[in-house]
Amino acid sequence: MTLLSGVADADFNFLLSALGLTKGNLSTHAERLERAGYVEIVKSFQGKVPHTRYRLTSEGRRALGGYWAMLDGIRGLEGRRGRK
Amino acid sequence: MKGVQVSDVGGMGPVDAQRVAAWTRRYLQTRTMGVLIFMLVFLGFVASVTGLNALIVLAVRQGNHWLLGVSIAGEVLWVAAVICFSVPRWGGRLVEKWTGRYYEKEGAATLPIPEKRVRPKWIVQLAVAVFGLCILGSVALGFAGMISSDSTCMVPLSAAYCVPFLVFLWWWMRPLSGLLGLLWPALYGLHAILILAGAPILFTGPYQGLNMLVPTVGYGLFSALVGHAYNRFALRRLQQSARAGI
Repeated sequence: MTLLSGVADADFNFLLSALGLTKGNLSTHAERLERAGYVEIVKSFQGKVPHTRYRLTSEGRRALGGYWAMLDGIRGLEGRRGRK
Repeated sequence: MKGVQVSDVGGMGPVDAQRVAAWTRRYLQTRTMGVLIFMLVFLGFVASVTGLNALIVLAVRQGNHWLLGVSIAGEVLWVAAVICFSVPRWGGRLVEKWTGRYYEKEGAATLPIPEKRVRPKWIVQLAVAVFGLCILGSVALGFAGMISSDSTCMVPLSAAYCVPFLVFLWWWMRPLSGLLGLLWPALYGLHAILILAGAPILFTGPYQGLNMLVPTVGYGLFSALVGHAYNRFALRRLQQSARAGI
């Protein structure tokens, strides 16, 4: 999701190359994110070759933003504890 | 969250996400294989035509009609091939096919374009028309004998319209073009300024053709190569930063 947050959309090979996951692993994760409504998967054909594109939904961006804010909060808390 | 250490908190934070987004943008902006191919094709054309011209001169001197015929035919074929290649529908598609094959394993992604951006097509049409007129004007001045390729004003004159046009193209392509896209016009402009300042970088004699070749194809090829090298570096950094959160 972090990778998708920096682009408008990306295809399967791009995510595979960047993340270094196996094809099955990436497909499974992507499907879970799609079921959660965070990622939109668009399947098409380029000639006879299947082509899959992924994009973050607005709900996905909100969820990712919330996750970062939560992490930021925890790290801020730890920072204050460390200074004491 | 009591008892939670920062080191326990897995995953990435906003700074890491910004890093991933930044390297993704830099990687996508420096996919210069298409530009490299165009430059190499053009360089090949110039080299071939130069070689064929030399053969024509040799054939005329020796009275070798067979060599003359073959050389002229070769030049005609080359010019026709380059004209076809220059047509976006043919050459553009061919380059797209070759670059697609090169980047196939790395996949494709699209950079987000701001929704508010409104760029009417007439702007780029006007820029291309003005650029074309400037080229015709330069050629006309050359034919009129007012400027020659070893003169001190040929390169600065061409820089006066080529540099703004290259900068315009860079601006028009944003966010698809990054800062490295300004390297070519920067080198071209610097080359022109150095010539005006009297730096001994003008070619003379049989090499005077290089006076225009260096700032156009030469710096274009160099910039594309630098872009490609940075692209490989950006891909490694993107992979490192993206995989750090897994």
